[in-house]
Amino acid sequence: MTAAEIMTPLERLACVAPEDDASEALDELARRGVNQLPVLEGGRLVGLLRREDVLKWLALYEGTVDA
Amino acid sequence: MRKATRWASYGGQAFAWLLIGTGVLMLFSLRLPLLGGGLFGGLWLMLIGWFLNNAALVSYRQLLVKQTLEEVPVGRIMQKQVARVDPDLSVARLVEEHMMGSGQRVLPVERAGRFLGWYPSPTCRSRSGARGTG
Repeated sequence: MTAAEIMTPLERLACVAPEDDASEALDELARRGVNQLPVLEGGRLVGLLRREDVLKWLALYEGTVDA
Repeated sequence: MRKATRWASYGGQAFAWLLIGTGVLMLFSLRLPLLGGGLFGGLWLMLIGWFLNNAALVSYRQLLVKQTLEEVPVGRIMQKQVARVDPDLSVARLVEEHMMGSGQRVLPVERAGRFLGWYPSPTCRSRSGARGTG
């Protein structure tokens, strides 16, 4: 059995683009109940957006936002 | 919109503290029309106030998160170093050589630079009971 036979195909995955808003991507993570999203640019995978990456970003920068 | 949410949250918190304060006074024999008074009524009002305050704080926290992430492109946050596998790779090798070593919970499957999908499959997810791999 090969990876292609058991993988989750692209059509069934929610994807984001590198220029997409991170807050919308976080909404998508929450809506789908997933921990990561593939980041695609012209059909090529350029990265992974993981929930923990967003949390790290928030931990670093949240205090700097003027509430 | 942002300001409105913030003020709605402040309003919710103020109302919640008003309920808690009134509940405390009711504990000390304050009697109010409709609400009455006494230990049970006071504690009940304090509990409602506490719930309201929590809800207002959570909505305010969500606003802060949204505000922090607004206009931050995904490309700045994402993980750029991603292990990938060929679609023809056997599952045994995929798990042993890539899944165990990379520390990634998902392994993108690519052919000639084109993203096709990723491992694990939804079936693997439901069998393991784990959520959120895809």
